[in-house]
Amino acid sequence: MIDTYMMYLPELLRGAGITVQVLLLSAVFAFIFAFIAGLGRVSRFWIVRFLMGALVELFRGTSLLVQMFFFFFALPAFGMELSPFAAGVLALSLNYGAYASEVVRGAILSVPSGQTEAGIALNMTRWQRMRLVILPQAFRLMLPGFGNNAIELLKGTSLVSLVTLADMTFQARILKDNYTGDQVEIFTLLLLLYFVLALPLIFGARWLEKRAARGVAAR
Amino acid sequence: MTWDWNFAIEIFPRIFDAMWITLGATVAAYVIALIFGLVLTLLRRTRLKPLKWLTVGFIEFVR
Repeated sequence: MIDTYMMYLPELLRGAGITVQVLLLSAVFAFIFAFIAGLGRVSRFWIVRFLMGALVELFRGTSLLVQMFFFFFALPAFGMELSPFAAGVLALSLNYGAYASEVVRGAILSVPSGQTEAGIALNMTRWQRMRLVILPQAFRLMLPGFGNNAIELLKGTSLVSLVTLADMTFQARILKDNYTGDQVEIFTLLLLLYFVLALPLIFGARWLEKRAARGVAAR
Repeated sequence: MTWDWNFAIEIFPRIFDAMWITLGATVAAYVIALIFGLVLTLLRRTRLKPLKWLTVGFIEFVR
């Protein structure tokens, strides 16, 4: 029984490399998009607020898989050919970035308004107040949300197997086709591998939260 | 770009009909998730330690 598992492990691990690459790249882009959109939604210009709000609701309110299909199958009709990797990373970044932007927005709004008033009293500019007073405090509040999003993102990467990218789930589906009868072992192993990949994210998020709580009075 | 209105209108009924399955699955899964979530929360708060850790382990793994 252990032998069966050992036999499939190398094949699945080959896909793990792609899964991790998609995860890391999407995480970086999602993080950037989350900050741009989150800050945009608390902008003083209504047009920026409106545009960012529309963008976030568009990517949050439609299916991630359908977005991926759109980027991969429909964009070529507009003359934009994307590789499976690019389509997958783009869809994941925009979708999870939209979710994370709500985390950014919520955190910024939950910093007490007295902090802004103190900044005004000290004659700080808007940008100084945001950068030196609000964001350092808000960032701490974003961490639990970001941790959740990172785990969700990892699991979302399995969808790239449906745009022909050879990630972990893709390899498992090929193995299932080639070795019918061993589906239980293959998919159990796949579940375990996803959990193993999620563990560093779970513990990393906890560690960051602890670190960020240092020197801060409990509320 | 090749946007064909006739084709879009032609396939619309198919996609529209499938919408009921999407909606049904969403509502059904949401109801089950709420009930199951409540059960898990109660199990997690039990005084029986083994049952509690089993529940926590299950939640973390599935999540």
